[in-house]
Amino acid sequence: MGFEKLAKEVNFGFKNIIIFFTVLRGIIVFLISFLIVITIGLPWIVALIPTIIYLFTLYKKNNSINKFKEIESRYPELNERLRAAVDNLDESNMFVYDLHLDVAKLIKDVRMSEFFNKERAKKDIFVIAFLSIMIILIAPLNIHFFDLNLDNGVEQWDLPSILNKIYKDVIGYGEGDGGIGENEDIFGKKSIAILGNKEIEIQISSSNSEIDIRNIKDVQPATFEAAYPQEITAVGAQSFQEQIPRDQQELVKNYYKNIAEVQ
Amino acid sequence: MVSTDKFRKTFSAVFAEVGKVIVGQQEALEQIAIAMLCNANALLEGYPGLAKTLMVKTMADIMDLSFSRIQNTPDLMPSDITGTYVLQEQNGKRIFKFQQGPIFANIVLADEINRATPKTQSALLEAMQEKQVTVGTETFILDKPFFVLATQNPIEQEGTYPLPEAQSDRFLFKIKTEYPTMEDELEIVERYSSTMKVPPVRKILNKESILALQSYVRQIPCSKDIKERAVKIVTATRKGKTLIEYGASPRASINMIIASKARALIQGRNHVTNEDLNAVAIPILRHRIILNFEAERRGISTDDAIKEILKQIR
Repeated sequence: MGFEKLAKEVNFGFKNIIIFFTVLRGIIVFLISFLIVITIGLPWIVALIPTIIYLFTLYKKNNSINKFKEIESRYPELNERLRAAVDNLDESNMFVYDLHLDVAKLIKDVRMSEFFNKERAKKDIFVIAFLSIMIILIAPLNIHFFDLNLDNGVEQWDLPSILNKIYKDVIGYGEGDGGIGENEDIFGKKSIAILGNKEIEIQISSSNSEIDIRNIKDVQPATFEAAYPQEITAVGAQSFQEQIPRDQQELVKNYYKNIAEVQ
Repeated sequence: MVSTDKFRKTFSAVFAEVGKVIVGQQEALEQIAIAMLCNANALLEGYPGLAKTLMVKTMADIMDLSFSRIQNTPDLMPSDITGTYVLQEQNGKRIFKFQQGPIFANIVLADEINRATPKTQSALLEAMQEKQVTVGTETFILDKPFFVLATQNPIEQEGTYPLPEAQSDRFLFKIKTEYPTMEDELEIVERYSSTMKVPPVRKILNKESILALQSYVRQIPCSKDIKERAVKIVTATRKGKTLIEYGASPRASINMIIASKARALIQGRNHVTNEDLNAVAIPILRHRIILNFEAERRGISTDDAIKEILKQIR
């Protein structure tokens, strides 16, 4: 195998290890941020900001690492040779050729697994697991050390609200210009749907709830009997006419007729 | 396919041969060889009696190169170096014929260059740079390889014309010859105070092989990190104002890399290392930087200042 191909393989293997550890660290940062964010009452999406900043910084830092220098530090026989060989891949003279041959022989002994820090991976995975459990335990308790939620009901930043907004925007469900009127075939008549347009927010705090789930039983069918008294009877419209004096009946009739014509 | 070990063996043989005549001074000998491979010139500084001339003459013999020596004095004229037209009689006619000066040799030892007037110094330095001399209207190309080794005496500065910075910058190295150790000096006394003659040296290289070696030097691969370090070192001499008043030029950066390549070739390596860079940094920079008053007050030499920079930039 040519030296160029070998160098590319080594570089690829090293990059994969760096990406793996970067992702692990990114997850840790996200989980920590998430934990902080939910305990101070901020929307969870805020946790993405430090994660993105951290991943960007880490990527820049890792990108600046000379991978071949790292390899040289573990394999002294490659010291300064590997970098010289890699930096002169485009050159072609007898010395470069000789150097590539030398390094190609030595690079075969390089084991990428040596650069995979198992201890670090174990620690990172343990931290991720620990943080995940913490979040699972803390989230239902609704612990808010501070309430920094800035939305004040103007706009919901929680996940269901965001998904709902996306859903509305994409397929035109809900209120607004892209709403029901345009998709009556799917959502039915606007006049009917509008009745259910009022949003109801129900929040059950599991830590302070009086509902005991164990005591909830199936819904019992209720029977309703006609209990209104028999003596109540409807009086026909004629009773209304009878109350108007006969000589004024024509006047009233004309009055309503005129109103109807004006409308 | 080339075996770089072949070069190491060749130069080991050269140094072993020089060792028959010169005791010690390995560092200076290696630096002279590097300068030759870089097709550059060197300034040799040392006290009188340290075999500077003998060292250069022996190298010339081993490399089968012509050698000439110019003893610089204040009354030395440029034509004494370059040569001049002399009137000669040929077939009953008188004609001007060019009489070559001592500059027409492969290795020129310009002894005590700082004793020559600036005008003569300029003539010599121009020949060094251009590898040619112009006398009257005619230009004469100097034979290849051409190498000037100028010596300077660090004492007796009275009545001298120190080389301007711009001109000393043209020398690749400022090589310092140090006093020998006790053992070496004893060996020198043994060797040169008896009736036993110093054995003649073997010719190991020739003009063609030296020219070929010069062409190989630039082919030696060097990593980007080492090039960056060389530039950082030279830049540090310009930026670090705590000890240095004036730093080295970018020419020093170029020379650092070329000289490192030449050293790698001499050592039989197919790549440049930081060790090469450290080895050539001091002789390359010592005549290119000027220390400030603070450094002089503290008794710090240029070599110390360079070592400090090398320590900082790893």
